[in-house]
Amino acid sequence: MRSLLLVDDDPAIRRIAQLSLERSAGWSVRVACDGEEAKRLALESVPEVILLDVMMPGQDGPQTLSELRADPRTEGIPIVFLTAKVLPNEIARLEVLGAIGVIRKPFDPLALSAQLEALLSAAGDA
Amino acid sequence: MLSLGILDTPQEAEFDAAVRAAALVCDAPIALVSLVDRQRQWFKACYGLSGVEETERDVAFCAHAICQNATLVVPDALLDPRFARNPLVIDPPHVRFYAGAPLCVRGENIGTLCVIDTKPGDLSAAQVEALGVIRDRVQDLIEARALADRVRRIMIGWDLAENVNDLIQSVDPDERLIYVNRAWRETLGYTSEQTADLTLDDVIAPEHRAAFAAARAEVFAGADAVEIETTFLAREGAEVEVVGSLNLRPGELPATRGVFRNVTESKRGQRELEGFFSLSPDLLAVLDERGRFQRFNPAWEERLGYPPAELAERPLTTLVHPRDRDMCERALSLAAGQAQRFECRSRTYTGEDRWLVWNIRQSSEGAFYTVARDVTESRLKTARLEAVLEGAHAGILTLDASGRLETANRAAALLIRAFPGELVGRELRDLLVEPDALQLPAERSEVFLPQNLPPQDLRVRRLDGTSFEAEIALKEVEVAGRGLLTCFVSDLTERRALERMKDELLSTVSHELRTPLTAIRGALSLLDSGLVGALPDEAQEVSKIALESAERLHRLVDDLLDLESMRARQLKLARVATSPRDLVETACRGIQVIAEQRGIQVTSTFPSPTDDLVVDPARIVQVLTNLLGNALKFSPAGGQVRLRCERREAGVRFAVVDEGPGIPEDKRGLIFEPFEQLDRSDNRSQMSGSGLGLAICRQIVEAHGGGIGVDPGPQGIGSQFWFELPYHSESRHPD
Repeated sequence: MRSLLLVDDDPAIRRIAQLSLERSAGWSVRVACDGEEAKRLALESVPEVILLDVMMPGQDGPQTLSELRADPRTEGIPIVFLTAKVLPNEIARLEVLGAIGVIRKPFDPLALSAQLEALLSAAGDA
Repeated sequence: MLSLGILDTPQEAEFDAAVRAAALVCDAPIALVSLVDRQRQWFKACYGLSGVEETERDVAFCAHAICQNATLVVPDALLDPRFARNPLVIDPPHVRFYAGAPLCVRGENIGTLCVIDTKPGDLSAAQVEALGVIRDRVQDLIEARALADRVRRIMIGWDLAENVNDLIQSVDPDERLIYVNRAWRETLGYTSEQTADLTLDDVIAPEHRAAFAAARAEVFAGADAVEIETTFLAREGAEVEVVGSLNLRPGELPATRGVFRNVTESKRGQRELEGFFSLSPDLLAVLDERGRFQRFNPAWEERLGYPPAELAERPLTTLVHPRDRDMCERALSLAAGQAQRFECRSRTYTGEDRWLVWNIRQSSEGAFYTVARDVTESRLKTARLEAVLEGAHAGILTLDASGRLETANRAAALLIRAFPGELVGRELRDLLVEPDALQLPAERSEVFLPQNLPPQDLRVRRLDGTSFEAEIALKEVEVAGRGLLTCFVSDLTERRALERMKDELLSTVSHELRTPLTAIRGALSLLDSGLVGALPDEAQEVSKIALESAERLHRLVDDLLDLESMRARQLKLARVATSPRDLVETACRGIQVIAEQRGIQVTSTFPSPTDDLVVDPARIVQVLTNLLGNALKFSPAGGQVRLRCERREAGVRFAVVDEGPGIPEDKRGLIFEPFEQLDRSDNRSQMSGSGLGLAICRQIVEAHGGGIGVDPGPQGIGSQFWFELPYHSESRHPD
C-alpha cells in the first residue's frame, strides 16, 4: 500500500483528509499534528509523499520542509503543501521553497488523491 | 500805385535804357525814373547817381513835379525860392538844375522821368518834347509791366486754386457754377467739361440746399464770410461731407466763392469712434483737467449703474474706495508724463465695490483719457481657485514643459517641508529619491496634444532630507500654445499602511474561514459520497443541501479573495498566445454538464481564423465561464445560449447571448460592481453566486486592456454580455 504522511494541526482536517485518502484511493495514511511529530514519523518510516500544512503552531510548514530537506534521510521525500493561504503572493512564496506542489484548502476530498497523483507524476517527469 | 506792383522791384533794362536816353537828350549827368508814394521817392531806374535808391518825399523835386501835368523845369535851384533851401541843393549832391516830366498811369501822376545837373541849366523846347516822348515810353513800360504782373498774379492764384486739397467753387447769382477747382472735380467725380452747366441743385444734397441758399443770401447781403457745413453729391451719387466758408468773389461779376474741406473720412472716423465708445464694455471717459467727468460711455450706466446726469462733472476720485483714493490721485498727477495703470476698488451707483483696472493718460490740453475694466469676476474666479488650491489636501504643483516648478500650493509645501517659494524654480526630478524614475511627457515638435501620464509611485525627498512614498499624477494642459504640467502629489504612506492592514486582514480571515470550511465541505463530501457509510434517503438529501451551501460559501470566499487580490494589483497574468477558439471551447466544455442538466442548448460561432490573443487563458476562460454560467442561470429551460466570437479592428469581441429576462437599462452600469445582484430573491441554490462574478470579470478584462459591457439581446429579448480583448496591449497592472 502507498504510504502518505499527513501533517496538520487541525484534527478535523486531519481526519477528513485521512478518511478520504484511505477510503477513496487506498493510501496508507499516518498523521502528525506538528512539524516535530512529522519529522519523527518520517524518520521512523519514510513515506512516499508528505502532505504538509503551512500554518501550524510552533514549527510551521516551510520550516518543517527545510529541516526535512536538511536531513539526508528525508531530503528525497516529495512534499506537497496544504494551505488556506491562497493569495497569489502567498502561493508564490510557497512555490519557491522546494515542494512539488501546493493544494489549496478547502480541498475536494474526493479529488484529493487525484491531485496528489498528478503532482507526483509531474514531479517524477521532471 | 500799389496795385501796379512796381515799387521796390529790381532794376530792369528797359527803364535803365530810358533814363540813359533822357540824360543824353537833355545833356544832363543824372536821370531818374522816380516813383513817389506817401513817404518817399523811390528810383526805379537811375543814371549817373550811384548809391542812392530813394529820398524822403519832403525834399523831393519830383513831389512838386507830379502836382502838375506839364514838365517842371528848374534852371537854377539856388535862385528858385521853392528849392533854394532844399537839403539836396545845399548839401551834396548840390542839385542846381532839375527837369521832371510827370508819369501818369491810369489817370494818376505817380512819379517823374527827370534829369538833374549840379550846374544851372535849361532845356530847349525840343529837349522838353524829347523828354516827354521818353516819359510816354516809360509810362507804357509801367502799364505793360503792371498788366504782366496782374496776369502772373492771376496765374499764381489759379495755380494755387487748382492745386490745393480744398474744394473751391464760384457760383453766380443764378446758382450756376462758374468755376470749380481740380480738388472739387476729383472729389465729386467730374471732368472739367462736365462741370460746364452745373447748378447748385446738381451738387448740394437736397436736405442741405435751403441752408446753402441762406448762407449765399447772407454773403450777397454783405456778410464778410459765412461758415457752413454741408454735403455735396458726387456725380455717382456718393455723399461728400464738407465744412468751409462762403464769401463774395471780387471782380466785375458778382459770385459767391466757397472754400471747403472734405471731412467725410474724419466724420466717418468720428462716427466709428463714437460707435466704439458706446459699444465698449470697458468704462471710457474723458475728464477735465481737474479730474471731473466730461464725456463717458454707456458702460458706466450699464456696468456701474450711474445715470449720465449723476456722473457729469463728478470728480473721478469720488467713485474710488476711500482707501484707494491716494493711489488714484497719485496716478492722476503722474498721468501727464505717461499712461498710468492701477487697480482699485470702485463704487457702483448703489454703493457696492467692484475691482477696476484703470488706464489713465493726460493729454497736452490737460484732459484725462481714462479706460477702466471691471475685473471683479476674474479676481473672484482667481480668488476661488486660489482658495481651492490652498485648501486642497493634495500637493498641487505646476511645472513648465521641462519639469521645472512654477507654482506650489500650501499642501505641497507642507508635504515637502518647504516654504512654497523655496520650491519654485526647482526641477521636479531633483525632489525625487530616484530622479531617473520620473516619466515626463515625451517632447513633440509641432502640434501640441496634451498627454496624460498614468500616476507614478515615487519616493519624494523632503527638504529636511527625509522621504516619503508618493503618488505623482502629471497632467498636461495647453496654455496659450505651450505645454504646462499640473502635478498632484499625494502622500501614500497612510494609504500603503492601510493596504497592508487590509491585505493582512484579508489573508487572516480567508485562512480562518478556509480551515473550518475545509472540514465541513470535506465531511459533507465524504458523507455524500457514501465512502463513510450509506445514509438513509432523507439524511442523504439533507447532507446534499449542506454540501451545496458549503460549496457556495467556498465560492464566496474564493471570489472575495480573487477580487481583492486583483484590486490590490496582485492579479498576475500568465500571458501566452492563445486562439480565441480554444478559449471558447474550453469554457463551453466546462459548463456542458450544467447546460445539459437545465436542458439548455449552448452554441458557439467563430469568425474565419483570427490572430491569436496574447492573454492569460485561465483568466479569460474564467470570464467566459462566468458569463455562460449567468446565461444558463437566467435562461428558461429548453432555451438557447449563444456564444459569438467576432473579429474587431484591433482585437476580438466575445458575446454571450441569452434568452433570459434581460437587464433593465438603469442597472446595466451597476452590475459590474461588487455584490450587485439583480434580484436578490433569486435563490436557486444550485446557481446562486457570490455577487462578485461580474466584478471579477471586469477586473480580468480590464487587466488585459479590454472592455466589458452588456446590451439588450437581439429584438430586445434577453441580454448580450460582451467583452473585447485587444491583440496587443500593455497590462494595466504590472505583471
